[in-house]
Amino acid sequence: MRILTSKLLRKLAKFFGNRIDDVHSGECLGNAFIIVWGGCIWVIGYTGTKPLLPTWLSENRVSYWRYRLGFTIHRDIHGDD
Amino acid sequence: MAMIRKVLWAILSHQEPIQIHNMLGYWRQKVGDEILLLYGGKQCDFESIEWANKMFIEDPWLLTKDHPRELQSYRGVFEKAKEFIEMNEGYSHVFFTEYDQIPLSVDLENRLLRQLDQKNADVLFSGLQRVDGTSHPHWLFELGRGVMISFLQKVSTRPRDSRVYSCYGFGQFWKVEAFTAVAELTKSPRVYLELWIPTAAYHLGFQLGKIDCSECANKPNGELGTNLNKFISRGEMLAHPAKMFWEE
Repeated sequence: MRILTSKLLRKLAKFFGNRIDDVHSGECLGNAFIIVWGGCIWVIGYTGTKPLLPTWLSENRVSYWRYRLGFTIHRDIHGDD
Repeated sequence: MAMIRKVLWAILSHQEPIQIHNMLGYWRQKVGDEILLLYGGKQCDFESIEWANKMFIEDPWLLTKDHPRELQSYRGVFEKAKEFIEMNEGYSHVFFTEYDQIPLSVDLENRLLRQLDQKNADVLFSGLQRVDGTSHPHWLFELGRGVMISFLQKVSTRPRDSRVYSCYGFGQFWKVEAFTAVAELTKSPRVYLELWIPTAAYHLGFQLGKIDCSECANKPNGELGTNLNKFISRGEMLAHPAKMFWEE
């Protein structure tokens, strides 16, 4: 049942979800429904394979009323990078 | 003087003796006789397997159904492999894998050694990725439990570093010092093996690398079937998962 729900949500997210791009490279990481509920940001039905790393985006000017949260991935693998 | 390199091919299986017989016969054609069978099946089946280099694994942490949620661990598996290495000196490297990964190239040993040298690594993992701070489900579950990092920080050579890595359980190529160092952590907490193994190796100071092999031939899930000719013709060195391969 859990697997079926997961597959269905991913299918739906593929067509109707938000596209998630890597904020640093521009690479498309996948699609997902991004919902704000209960004080949390829920990422549901993510279709990508690379784990998402949430990151605040830098701004060109000081703003006290808006901030942007994006997604990227870890690029290092080697232990001493 | 050039160092003599000797690889131990350690294969974990729980299948029946006939399938084990097929598997060992096939592996011998690819890599020779230095094969260690790590057997997690029934004790009576283990006794009937005709292979000298075999170790029986009796570890409840290995026997799980829903592996990530029940925190499957290779602690007992690595411990037995280490015991074998200590009894049979001379191994410089260990290739550890699961029964459903199939060797496709007769040049596997040289290809793996070359990759290890090129990457200047102590261990190469399949599917290696850094996961701390990400949405990786195994990491998020571990974050809630909070046992791994607090344990590793006590033994870590990188105590201010909280990096966490993930890899697949199959297809790991180790320098023997790195393998035995991780296997020696027998008092470790129970953590899912895909997180524990690479993260422990990293925190013990070893250099990690990722095995270069095609992702479509080496997937974590699914079934590649019994006809692997297309992968052989593409020059792949390994294929996973092919659970039915030893039935023939």
